[in-house]
Amino acid sequence: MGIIQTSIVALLLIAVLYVASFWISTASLSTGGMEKLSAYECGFSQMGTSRMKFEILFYVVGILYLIFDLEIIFLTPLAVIMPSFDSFLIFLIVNLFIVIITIGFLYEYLIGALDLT
Amino acid sequence: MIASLIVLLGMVLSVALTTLAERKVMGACQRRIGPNKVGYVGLLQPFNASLLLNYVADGIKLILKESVLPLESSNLLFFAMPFFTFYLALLNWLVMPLDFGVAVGELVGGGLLVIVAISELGIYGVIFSGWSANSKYPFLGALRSTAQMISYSVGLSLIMLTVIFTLGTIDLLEVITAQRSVAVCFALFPMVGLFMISAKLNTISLTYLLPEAESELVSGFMTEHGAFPFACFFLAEYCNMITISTLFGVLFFGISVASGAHIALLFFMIWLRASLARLRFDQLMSAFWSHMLPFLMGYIMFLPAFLYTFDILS
Repeated sequence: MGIIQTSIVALLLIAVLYVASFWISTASLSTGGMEKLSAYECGFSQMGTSRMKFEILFYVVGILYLIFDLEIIFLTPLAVIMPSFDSFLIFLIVNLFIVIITIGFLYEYLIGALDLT
Repeated sequence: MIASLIVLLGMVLSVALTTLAERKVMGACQRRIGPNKVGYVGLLQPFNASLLLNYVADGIKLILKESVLPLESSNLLFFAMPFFTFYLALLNWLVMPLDFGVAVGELVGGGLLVIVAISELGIYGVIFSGWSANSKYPFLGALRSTAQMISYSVGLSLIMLTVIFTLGTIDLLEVITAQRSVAVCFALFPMVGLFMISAKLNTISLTYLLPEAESELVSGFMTEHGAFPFACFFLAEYCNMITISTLFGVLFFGISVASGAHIALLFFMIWLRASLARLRFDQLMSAFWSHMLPFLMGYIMFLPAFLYTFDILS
């Protein structure tokens, strides 16, 4: 059986449950008024907007994640073809790549970009 | 068609029983009985038809509940994201080996990459569901969970990379057959422990209860979700736990889901949840970026050189 067929089966399985839950559910969507439909905020009505500024650190972590993820994607094919090459040069390439990434990470760590407190 | 349906339904059933197992193990850890009324020693608790038996139900009950759509939310994303998360959690089982040489979808070559890709797509489910609710607690919870999940998924991918270096393949079925003589867990012993830690923290894990820090963030990114959308997140979470436990067995011990050995890691996760206190968020992040990641990078540098020097490249 194919991948696509199975993923369609999974899609249908969840969709049936999802739609069924809206049919079966006993209360309607509209009753309850503002109190039920407003955003939850500790029993008070909402103060201000939720589209607010956030800590820059989350953004820094996201950028670091992108760099390291790309590095892993680049290393994976190298790891797979390494046995067939079986040369010393390929280790130098792999290690050089890792060292460059590590130097960049160390710089970011030492200037305190990852300091949360 | 029928075969894939059987596997997927079995997965959902297994998730339901995992929630029960969690409550039972937590109960045992805290010296109480846990759920034991519905069916024989509580075995029917996850499927309880609550109208008949008048107990608190887990699974079916959430389908019967009303779904609330908050006024200021982005409606489409708000309802689509739980669906998306659960769908991705089930998609892992397309490529996961069920036995020697048996997987649902016959994908030649890149099973491990598919698993990595799916687990990192799951992060979108968290961040968009938190953003689309347009409320403060889900937003803050989504930020935290995203930062935690992307950090530890880097760790998880690096650990998988060490296994790829050692075995020289990214096909999960080949990973199993390559370990028939000796399991790779002896060679990569430090990675086994690190995999356990980052597996727990990479799933939306209840283990350290950080994404849904009840005391400050109510329920994290799913505060506004109720009824079946909430159940979707819940099921996806446990589905990811089972997936990652199975992957642990596949990568390090060469045993698939048929051996049932993933239950050991599943038990270990629940056990840790019951016994350890919660970390603070900054401690968690610095534990990864300043302790675990340098160690992993050093190991990645060391491993190919070691394999080449002793001429044991597979």
